[in-house]
Amino acid sequence: MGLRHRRVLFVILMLVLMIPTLGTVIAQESAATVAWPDLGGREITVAVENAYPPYNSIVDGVGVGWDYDTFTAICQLLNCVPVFEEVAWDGMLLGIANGQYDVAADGITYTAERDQTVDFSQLYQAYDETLLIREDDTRFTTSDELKSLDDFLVGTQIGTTNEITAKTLFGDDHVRSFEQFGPAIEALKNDDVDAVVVDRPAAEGYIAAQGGLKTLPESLSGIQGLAFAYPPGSDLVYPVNAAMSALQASGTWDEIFNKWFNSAS
Amino acid sequence: MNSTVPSAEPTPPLQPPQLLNLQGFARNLLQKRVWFLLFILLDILVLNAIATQPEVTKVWDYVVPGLAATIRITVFSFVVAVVIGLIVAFGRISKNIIIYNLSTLYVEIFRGLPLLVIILIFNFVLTPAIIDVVVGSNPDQANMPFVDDLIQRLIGVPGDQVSTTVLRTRDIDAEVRIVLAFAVTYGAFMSEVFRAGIESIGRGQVEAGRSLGMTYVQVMYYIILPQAIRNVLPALANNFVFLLKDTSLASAVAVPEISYLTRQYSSNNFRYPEGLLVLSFLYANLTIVLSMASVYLENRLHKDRMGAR
Repeated sequence: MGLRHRRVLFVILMLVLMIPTLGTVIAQESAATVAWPDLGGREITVAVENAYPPYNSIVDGVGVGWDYDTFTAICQLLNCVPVFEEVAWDGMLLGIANGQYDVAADGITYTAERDQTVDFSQLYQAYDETLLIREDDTRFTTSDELKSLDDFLVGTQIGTTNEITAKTLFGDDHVRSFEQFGPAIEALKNDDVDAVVVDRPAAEGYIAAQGGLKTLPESLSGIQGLAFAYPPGSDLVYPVNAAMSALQASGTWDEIFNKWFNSAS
Repeated sequence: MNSTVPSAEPTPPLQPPQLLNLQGFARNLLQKRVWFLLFILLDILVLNAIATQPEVTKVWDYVVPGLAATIRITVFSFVVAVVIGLIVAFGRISKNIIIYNLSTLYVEIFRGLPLLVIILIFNFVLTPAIIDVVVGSNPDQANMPFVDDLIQRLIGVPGDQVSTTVLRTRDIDAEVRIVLAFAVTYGAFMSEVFRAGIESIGRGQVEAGRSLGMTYVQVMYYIILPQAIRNVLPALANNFVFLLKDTSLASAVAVPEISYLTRQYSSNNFRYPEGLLVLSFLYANLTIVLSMASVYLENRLHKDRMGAR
């Protein structure tokens, strides 16, 4: 008994003595990694929808947007080649969960439920959800006033956090979900729906692109965060986070942001 | 021949008439219906999953209410398409140059456009355009009050409100737009079916009827159409099955039929395998009932024709 106790004590003592040495080794290692992750020219497939301006859209036959510029800048730092792949939103997160793409950049809202199936980057943008309405519509200025209208309808996109917000706020019977935001906004212009539930930055993007629309000052839900989504256990989470922080420190981040979100402050 | 040979064998004893040929039935079942037994087996497996696996049960509960919309769209579109198809078929065999060319133009356009494109056009372009023409920019007074009131009556606005209200685009429900889109598309397909049916009946019958003093309409109604429609019934049944499957395209414009509800549920809950399992189960069972009905119809027609000879 005593002998065994003494042995355990000895091992513990040895371990305690080793801590400082171990600590320096770990510190050195992480310092080396922080120094700079190099992905060695690896190709990274980035899933985008090309239907969600200003994050991504097709202009003159070419995909452009905040997602494109940001991932190009990130890859310059990390020595990787971004390959943008157009994916319907409908199955994008499932594709990420299955590892079909390396990362999804589509103005994706972080939620705890989604976090169980995919990995997320650090949050890169805070936003709130709002109602996009026709510019000449004077019937309502808040969601409560909208709810008091007879047989009102709101449009949104299938499988988005906006859809969830819309259903919670207005009830299933008053929500029509389209495959993309484009048809939802077309329905809004045609008076098929009274309003579209959408993230404010994207709403500003649509207003800039189409005109004839405006947002309500009201926030439908609290502030939420956008993040990139990765397949579970992706080795890209850490390097991309580091690159994001570096871009934010160098001011490149704000440059890209102001280029695409100039109308939103 | 038989009468010249004396029958040496004793006549077999009379058997009671068999109501059910069990042996034959079983043999038939084994040889020709194995696929059906396998289908039922698959059904049972899926039903078991729906009953026992909570994730599948949830999808089922979410999607099944959409069945009503799917069936409604299919049936209404089919009925309207048959009417359009019959009318256009007569246009296509008409000797009147204007009617012939107009109906041919219609058939060629709507047979040539993909159904999804037609649906998007009806939903996002045509309906708003029609409302724009009928109502105009003034929300209190319609441009064409008569048409406005007529459409309102057609879509079921209460009688006392018809003259006081003005149409809005959303009054034309997305489901109605879809039914119209399907009806004109399948009307084009079915007009070709009917035309083939009518042309399959010999011209001699038309001439015979005419020489008996019947008018053209009488000949068509009493002699040609009853035969023609019987001939094309299997093709019509086929079209019905195609139509049912094509209703899944209505999900593109947010009509809450089963495909739309499945996509909505699956994309929100990361449950594509479960959702698509339930969706396939529903479509497969709907179409198998229909295709068995059409096979039955075909066999009956075949027997009738054999018997008539």
